[in-house]
Amino acid sequence: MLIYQFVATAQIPQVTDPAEMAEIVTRWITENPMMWLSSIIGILFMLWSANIWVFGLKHARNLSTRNAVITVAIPVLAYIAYTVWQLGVLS
Amino acid sequence: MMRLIPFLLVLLLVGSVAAQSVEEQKAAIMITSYQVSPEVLMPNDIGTITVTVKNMDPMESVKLTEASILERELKVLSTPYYNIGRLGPAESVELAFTIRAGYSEGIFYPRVVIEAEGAEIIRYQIPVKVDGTVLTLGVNKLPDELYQGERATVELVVGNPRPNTVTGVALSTAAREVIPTEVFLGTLASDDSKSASFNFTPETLGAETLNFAVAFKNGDNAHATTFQVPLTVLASKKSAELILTGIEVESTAGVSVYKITGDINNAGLEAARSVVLKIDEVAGVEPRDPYKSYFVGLLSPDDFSSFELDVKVDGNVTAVPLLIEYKDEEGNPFSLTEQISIESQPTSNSGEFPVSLIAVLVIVAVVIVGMIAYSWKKR
Repeated sequence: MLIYQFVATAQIPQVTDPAEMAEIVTRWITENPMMWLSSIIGILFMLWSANIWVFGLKHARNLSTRNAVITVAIPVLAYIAYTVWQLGVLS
Repeated sequence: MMRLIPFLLVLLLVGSVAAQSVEEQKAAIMITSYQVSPEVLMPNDIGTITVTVKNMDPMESVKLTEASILERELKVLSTPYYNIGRLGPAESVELAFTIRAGYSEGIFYPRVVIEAEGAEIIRYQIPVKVDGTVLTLGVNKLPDELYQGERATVELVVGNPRPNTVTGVALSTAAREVIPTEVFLGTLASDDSKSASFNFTPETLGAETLNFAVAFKNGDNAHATTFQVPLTVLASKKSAELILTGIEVESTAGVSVYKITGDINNAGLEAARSVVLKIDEVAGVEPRDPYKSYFVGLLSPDDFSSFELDVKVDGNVTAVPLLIEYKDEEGNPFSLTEQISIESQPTSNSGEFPVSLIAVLVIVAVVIVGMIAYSWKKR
């Protein structure tokens, strides 16, 4: 829905310069609130998924709750950090 | 019979040359002719009087001892002739005297005195005219109305009211709007006239005076007279009048590049040639490809043409100067500048979060937090 909202309202500029095109794409990503919203919601769903993975890993591998949380938290935090970093760098 | 020959000869000379006469019929020598150059002097002019002295005796030579010229009003610049020499039978010699005219006009009679051995002294009065009349200059052709920036032809006529021919007649002006600046007319006979045309392209409105000078030579004496032509320059009524209509400014998302489109119309009565539209490069405004400038070419009266221009502006620029250049029928360049306002159009990228999406975000967040809390609580 967010991607649809983003694409539907996007204005395609008539540019021929590659450097100018890159600048436009960067501005699309960093200045469009839809992209920020999409990232935030993605992080929320990732947290929800992580919660499910904690219980799944706990019972599948007979891990303690603490160890399951640590196991799941590593890739999830890495993903969240990468997502935030990407938005921060582009902006 | 022998004494009648000189007399008949003199009569013949009088018939052919008006200026010729006989001073002394009994003398063995006589002045058979004279010449004043220039024919008519102007005040303070320098001229020459040349007399022809002839020995009328066919058998005996005569020794000329002195020749001089006397006059009060005219100043004689040359010195008298002394011991001129012997003049053979029936031979003649020309004697020239230099004179300077005074400041008064009229007819003067300098007296030439010739002395010879064994002959009577000859005293001969020569009429010399002094006339201060100068050449006249008038306007022969001039347009009824002169318009700024439009070339007009001014034809002047130079007349010679003097009784003699003048040479080296040249008509000149120092006005930089007039071409050519000088026209050489050459010799101008008495009561004759010659015309010269000048192209005048006025640059300023209002009253203007063109100064012309006529230079000429009377003999070896240079003279000049000036002439003023008062003119009134009006604003052109028939010139091309270019106006812009239907201006549309399209912005490009993401970058401050605008496409300016519209129509350029010729509301004047004359065609505009070589019409070019371009973005005037000022601070913060940069013309961009593909249409940094737009060539329209010939734009006839009551005609129009579409145009398209691309420009990139800085964020604080609110208007773009659009420069229109064109030429008239004579090739005179004109230019005018129109300010095109650049209205910043909000794009979807720069807006705020929509309220509906914020609500969705909050609901999703609440649901997820609730689900997570519920899953931990259930355990």
